[in-house]
Order: sequence, then C-alpha cells, then structure tokens
Amino acid sequence: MSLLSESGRETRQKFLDWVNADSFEIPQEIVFPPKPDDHHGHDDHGDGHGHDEHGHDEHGHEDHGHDDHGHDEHGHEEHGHEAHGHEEHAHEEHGHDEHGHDEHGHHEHLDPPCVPQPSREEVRKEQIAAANAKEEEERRERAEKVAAAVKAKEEAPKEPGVIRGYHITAIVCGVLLALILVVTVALLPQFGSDTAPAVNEVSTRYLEQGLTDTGAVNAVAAVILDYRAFDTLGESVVLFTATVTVIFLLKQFKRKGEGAVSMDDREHYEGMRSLPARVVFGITIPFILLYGIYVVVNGHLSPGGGFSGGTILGAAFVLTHLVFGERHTERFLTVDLCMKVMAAGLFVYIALKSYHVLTGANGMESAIPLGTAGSLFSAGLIFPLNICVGLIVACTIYSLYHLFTSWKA
Amino acid sequence: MNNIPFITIMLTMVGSIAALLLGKKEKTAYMLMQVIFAVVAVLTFLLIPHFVREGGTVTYQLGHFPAPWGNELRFGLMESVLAFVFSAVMFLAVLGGKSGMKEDVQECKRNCYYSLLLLVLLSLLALIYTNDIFTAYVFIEINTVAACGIVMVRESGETLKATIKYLFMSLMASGLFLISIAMLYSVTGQLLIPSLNGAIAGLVSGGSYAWPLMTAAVLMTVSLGVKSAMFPFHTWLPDAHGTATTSSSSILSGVVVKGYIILLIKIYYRVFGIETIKNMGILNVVFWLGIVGMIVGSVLAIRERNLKRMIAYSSVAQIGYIYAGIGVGTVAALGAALFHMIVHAFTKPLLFSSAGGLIEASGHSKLIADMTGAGRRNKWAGAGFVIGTCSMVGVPFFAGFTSKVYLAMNAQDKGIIFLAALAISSCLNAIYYLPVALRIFSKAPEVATAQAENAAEESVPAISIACFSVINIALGVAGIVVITILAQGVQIL
Amino acid sequence: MNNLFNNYYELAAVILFVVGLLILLLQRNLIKKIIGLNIMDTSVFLFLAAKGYIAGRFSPIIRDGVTDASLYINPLPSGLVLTGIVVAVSTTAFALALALRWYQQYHTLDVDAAVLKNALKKGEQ
Repeated sequence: MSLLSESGRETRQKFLDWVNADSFEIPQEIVFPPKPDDHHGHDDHGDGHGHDEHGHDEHGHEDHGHDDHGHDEHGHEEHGHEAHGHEEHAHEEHGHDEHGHDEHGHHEHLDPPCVPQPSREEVRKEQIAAANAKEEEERRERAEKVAAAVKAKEEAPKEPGVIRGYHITAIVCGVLLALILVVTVALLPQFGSDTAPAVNEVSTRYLEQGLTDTGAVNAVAAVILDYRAFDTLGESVVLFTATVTVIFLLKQFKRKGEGAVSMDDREHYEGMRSLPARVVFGITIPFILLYGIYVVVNGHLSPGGGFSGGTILGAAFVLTHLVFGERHTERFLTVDLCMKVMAAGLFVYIALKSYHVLTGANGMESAIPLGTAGSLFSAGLIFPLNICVGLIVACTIYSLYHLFTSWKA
Repeated sequence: MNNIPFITIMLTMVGSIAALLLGKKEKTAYMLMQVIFAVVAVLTFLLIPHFVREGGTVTYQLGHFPAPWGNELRFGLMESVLAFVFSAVMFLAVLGGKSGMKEDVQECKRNCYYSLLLLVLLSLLALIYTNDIFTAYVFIEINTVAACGIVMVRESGETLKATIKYLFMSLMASGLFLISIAMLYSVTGQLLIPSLNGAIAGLVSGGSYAWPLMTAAVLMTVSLGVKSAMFPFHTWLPDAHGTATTSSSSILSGVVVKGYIILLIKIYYRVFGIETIKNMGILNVVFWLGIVGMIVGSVLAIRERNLKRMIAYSSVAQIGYIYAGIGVGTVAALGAALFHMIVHAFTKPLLFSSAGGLIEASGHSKLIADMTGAGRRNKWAGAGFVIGTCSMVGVPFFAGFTSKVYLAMNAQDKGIIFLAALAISSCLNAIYYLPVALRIFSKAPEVATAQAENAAEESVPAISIACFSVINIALGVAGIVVITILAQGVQIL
Repeated sequence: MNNLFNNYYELAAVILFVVGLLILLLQRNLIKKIIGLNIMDTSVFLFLAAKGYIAGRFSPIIRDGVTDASLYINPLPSGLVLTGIVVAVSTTAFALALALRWYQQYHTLDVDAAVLKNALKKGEQ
C-alpha cells in the first residue's frame, strides 16, 4: 500500500501517531539499573509481553539477540546516550550486513523515542513534512503525466486488425494443436498397461539391480542421483542460473536519503505483530527445520530426497522471515550467505560428480563404499549429493523470496 | 584425451559459480572468464588433430553404468570443431564488446553478466556433446535463461520488452520440446540417443506408432525453430539482438542460435534418422522455410534505420541459408550448412563489434543516418565493417563467398531454387549493406566530428576486430581445409 | 482411436497444455501469461507422471529387499518430473522478476497498453 494513495494517507497518519507517541508505561521492576534516558522497551526482560500497546516484545527478543552477538553491553550503554547515538549503533549491530540495506535508514524511523526529546521530534517532524511535500509534488506530476498519456491514447486512432489477426491466428493454432495432440494421445500405449514400451529392460534394471548397483533403497533417488546424475547437476545449475538473473534484476544496494516508510515496510522489518503467531512459530519452526533435514537425509531410504527436503527447509526460512521480520532474520540468514552456501553446495556436487564420472569413464572402480542397504550411511555418493542438493534448493528458495520482498520500486 | 570435453564442461561450471562469488572484484571475474574461455578453446583445439588422425567417435560414459541406464557424452570431429569455434568466438566477442559493456552494464552487477556468459558457454558445450535428449532439454533451459539474461544486462525499457518477448517465446518452445520428449519416451521407453534410434527404426519398419512419432518430430522442429529463429518464428530476434549490448548481440547471433540448430541436426540424423524425417515430409518444409527466411530477412533489413537491428535481420537471413542447407537432406549439403554456420559465427560478431565501435564514434546514436564518416573516426571499426560487408555480400576471397559457393554446389536436386534464392539474397544483402559501408567512409559534416569519441581507447575491441577479420579472410581463402574436415566429421553422423 | 478414453490422464494433460498455451498467447496481463506458462509446464509433468504408472503395482521403494521388478512402477518418469518441476520454478522466478521490472518501468502490467503508452511518450518527446 503506497503512501501516495488516499487510503495510504490515513495509514501514514496512524503510523506517525505511533512514532510520536510518548505514552509508554514504565514498569516499576526493572532488571537493569535505570538510566535517565533508557529505552523502556529494552527493559522488559522478564516480561515477554511488552507493555506498550504495539506489543513490542521484540525488543525483548532483540536483547537476546544482542547476547548472541556479544553486543549486549554496548547495546545497552549506547541506549543511555542520546538518541542519535542509538541509531548509529543500530548501524553497527547490523554492520556485518553485506548489502548495507536501507533498513538502516528505516531502523532509525522504527524505534519509538523513549523519552520525549523535543529537538529530535521537531527535526523528525520537519523531515516528515518535507518528505510529505516532496511526495505530494511527485505524485501530482506523475498523475498528470499518466492522465495526459491516457487521454492521448484514448484520442489516438486504434490500430485495427493487428491485434485481431494475432488473436485469430493464436486460436486457430491452438485448436489445431489440440486436435493433433488428442489424436496422438489416442494412439499412445494404454495408460497403466504393463506391456507398454516404457516397461523395458531400462526400468527393469533400475528396479532389480538398483539396490546392488547403488545401494539406495529408493529407486527414484538411485535413478536421479546415480545413473543419471548429470541431469540433476544440470538442473541444479538451472536453479543457479535463475538465481543469478534474479539477483541481477532485483538486487538493490543501499540508497541514501530514503523517505518515510509505509506500514507494509514495517511488517517487513519487524515481522508479524500478533504475539500468538510469534510464539507459536517460534516453537514450531525448529521442528519444521528438523523435518526438512530428516527428509533430505533419508532420500535414499524412503520417499524424499534433496528436492523435497530442500523445499521444506526453504519454506522454514521463508516462514522465519515472514514471522520475525528482516531485522531478526538477517542476523543469521542473508542473501549473500545463501549464495555462498549454494556455491559451496554446487562445488561439492561438481567435485563428487567429477570423481564419479572420471573413475567410471576411464574404467576405474570407485573408492566410495556402498555400505549396507537400509542404513543411513550407505548408497555411496547419494547421501552427500542429497545433502548438497537440499542445501542448494533451500538457499535458492530463500534468496528468491528475499530478493522479491525486499525490492522497492 | 577423452576426458577433455567433460573437463571443459566442469571447468566452465566452476567458473560461472566463482564469477558470481567475486562480487566486489569485477576485474578478477573478467580475467577468470576470459581465461576459462581461452582454456576451453585450447583444450578442444587439441582434440581436433586427434580425431583427424583417428577418426570415429568416442562415447564417453558419465558414471559407472553403460548406455541405456547411465548418461553419456558422444564426440567426434564435428563436435570438437564446433566446440572450438564456439569458445573462440565467445572469447573474441567479449573482447570486442568490452567498451560497450563498460557503458551498458552497471559495475556492481557486472560479475553476474560474466557468470551468465560462462553459463551460455556451458550449455552450448553440453548441447554439442550430449547423447541423451533429456540432458539436452535441461541444458536448453540453462541456455534459454542465460541468453535472456545476457539481453537484459543492459537495463533499459527496450531491452526489457525484448527480453520478455524472447523469454516467453523460448519458454513456450521448451514446453513443446518437453512434451515431445514425453511422447517419444512413451512409445519407445528410451532416452539415450543411440537406443532411441534403434527403437524408432524398429517402430518405423514395423509401421506402428507412426502418428505419435511424426507429432514428436514436428513439435521438436517447431520448438528448436522458435529458439533459433527459423522463418515464421523469428519475430523475437531483431528486438533481442538489436537492443542488447554489443558483446551480447555478438554472442547471441554468433553462437546461441547455432547451438539449437546443432541439436536439431542431431535429432534429425541420430535420433530419427534422416530417411524417416524425409518420409515424414518435414525436411521439405524446413527447406522451404529456410528459402523464404533468406529472402524475407533481407527484405525486412532494407527498411531498418537502426544499425544493430539491421544486422540482426540479416542474421535471420543467414539462418535461413543454414536451414535451407539442412533441408536439402544430403550429408554433403549438411557439411556445407555447418561450414556456413562456422563462417557466420565468425562474421556476425565482427559486424556487431564494428557496429559497436561505429556507434560510439557517432555519439552513441544507433541510427544509420547519424553515422556519416564514423569509419574515419574509428578506423578499426570501419575496416571491420567493410570486411564483414564483403563477406556477407559474397565478394570472392572472403568467407561468405566460399560458403555460398559450397552451399550452391551441394544443393543437389533443389539446385535451381537454391541458386536463385542465393542470388536474390546476395543482391538484397548488397542493397542494405553497401550504402552503410559507403556512408561510414564519406566526409562527415562538422557537427558530427565534434561528437567523436577518442579512438585511442578502443584498442581492445580493435584486437578482436582484427582477429575476426583475419579469420574471415583465412576461411575465405583456405576454407577448403575446414570443409574437408567437416565432411569427414559428418560422414560419421 | 482405441486408447482415447483409457488414456484419460494423458488426455487431460494435453488439453491443459493447449489451455495453458492459449492463455500464454492471448492474455494481455503479464502475470496471467506467466500463469499460463505454469499450467503448460504442469500439464507436461502430469503427462510424464502418468507414463510411469503400471496398474496394480507399488511405488518404487524397495521393500524388505524384494527386488522383483514386476512389483514396482517405473521409476524413470518420476525422476524426469522432479527435474522438470525444478526447471519450471527457475524459469517462473526469472519471468516474475522481469514482470516486476516491467511494472517499475511502465506502471502497468498490460502488455499492449505499455507498448502503446511508450510509443505515445516517444511521439510526444
């Protein structure tokens, strides 16, 4: 929802009210000794339920996050300094972020002032007013341009025949293709028959000797990761190619001087606001990750494998980002890290596959043991290849999701 | 020695992944890419004398299991020559478009461009060497996405439109290809090309499943025709090749479309068998579409005011030559078509690189009207353009003449039609190329010289243009050597 | 014409394929074109998956070490479908990224309108 629309105006007003609110309740019991200009939100350690009306218990989460990164003392002490000092250290906490996203700019706007400090408010009000005025102007200009173009289009003579001819050709070709394909289907071997040409020595060997040749109980995993592993490598490279192109199109680097933010952006950075959602997902996401790992690792023993397991892992990462927002997820999961993991997965796959092919093509025996069928560490190379594929797929899904949602027009 | 194709494929893959990781160090990524192109070219060049001496083809098993169960590569003389040509062309084309690349592609994202170029080479190598149609499908997809990506690296409105058109038409074609693979699998049960050949021969002689086989062949032809701009499906090509940056246009016109044509040749000769295709009547249709494409491409090029779009339309015409050569149906004509493919792979990047230089010397305007005297400002680009024009028109001692003569000689029973079409097409080529060649060397008005770029910084594209010109003249004069090698290669098809 | 109604999965797949193709060609909205592309690809996967089925047999996970091939369905088409799905996801991602950039450039997802608007703007300049 854009700030430029009429309904966006009310939203922006609500947001500005929230930003400028100074009616946070201060709890009497505080864990840390009170400093005169401390952030009250950060003092809510024991209380998972934040006291302010917007449910800012993520500040509680943030402190725990600070513990992990060892920024705790600095984080708290700097909050004692003036408010701009806090914002600078907000930059430092997230300084390891590679794209230097503009959420640093947003970060400033998102933290509510703990104690009303007139100078900062006035400055902020001026900034917002200036940003508002600029946006109004731009919006007016753009609306005028669009109106002029639309009017010109309506007055311009319509091109007769071109669009119609194309539609007719397309429909005729489609109907023709449908007829041809239906006749072909009628002449194909019967569905489900066991005398079809597809049931030949190829599939028989995959089933009968798959276990002894490759050690994998899952015949499909044996097919795609041992007999025809080159196709799977190609397909991982297709995933990689798509990620490269999407990175090229949608990756944005930090831009200076961002304007005011919309409520949608706030959801993007802070995550869901409902407490039950955060608690429930906080508990279930690790189990989803565990399930994903289980599916990946058991690829050669049961239905599953790198692709389905990787999708589950990727979905878990996406869920983390949706629920907890950019601010928390980017601490351990960024697009750059995903790309590095994906690259590592592909390199390992290529190395293993090269070894496999070079030994096979030159008539040498592979030194990888096949193990006993049915145990976890069996099936030769299929087990590590499944893990590589799972990592690649999970990283792709998360990177694509992140690139699409972080992109701003 | 036999491991070389596999090693080149893996090396290119590793390079493309590494190029993406080198986000900050753009120069290193560029060097890495050029080094990999050069290494692949050198390695495949080593294969050529090996196969000239020994002959035959090598079937390289990818893994521990033989043919119908595991995957395979197959290569011989023809594949080695083509792989060498493609990697060399890519190396030189990137050199030739270097200054264009500096302007068109943002610096922070240039490593993505290098990664995509390496992926294009990867997919081309795999398409040349593959012996399995499903592997071919997977690498067709890599090629599609990477090729659309290299059009899009120059981020502007017109490239956006061109990329969307190219992408949607290509993906539609990929869907058609996949459904024809599914149909072939359901009637034969095989995916490896030699096994498919055996099974299809059995089915054809038995007379069963004739209609599904024909549908599969037609769909594959249409699909690969869309991707390689055969006549009625060429509408994406002028936009995509005309608006992309110089090195992208060279690579797209020079090698990407050729990769699909090679796959189609493999499907005709090694999967179905050329006799079957002839009996289905598909080859005749391909021949006529090639002839019409020759003429229509040139006619449409005459009307163009934009230099790069004009060269792109001329690509449509040249691809028409190749398809007409394939459509004749004999192995000798196929050899001629392959030679023309190689000549075009060296000539089109020459033309595009020269056009890039001329465009810069005319104040970045792509219109031909603004290029008066550009050849005098940028001497290398002007000379390269003239050499390319001579080759396209068919002046003796240039490569184009040799390939046209050879095509005409091998046209067999369709000789008259072929000769007539060749003659008309050469005249049309002259009509649109010569005025440009004359205009770039005529005296420029004062205003235009003020916009001239400094020609001293164009040394790198100059090297590339010089190399292409030398190769062109060499192919023109000594083309018979390459032709004999190719003839030896296609006999084993 | 013997197998037309026995091969109902393939028939459905082929009809969906043509439906997807027509959506891709005839729709003016970019996102709908991408949806048509996805329908096309998914129908091919249905076709391939149906090719693997053999009536009365189990899924190709070897149970209790019994490797008699007449008890399991054909595992090869399942592998092909896996590869195909991943390829379709990749190409859809690329197409959607292009659609986002298109919207940024032309402020509309309508292919014809954007082209017309652009041509008009060029004419105005």
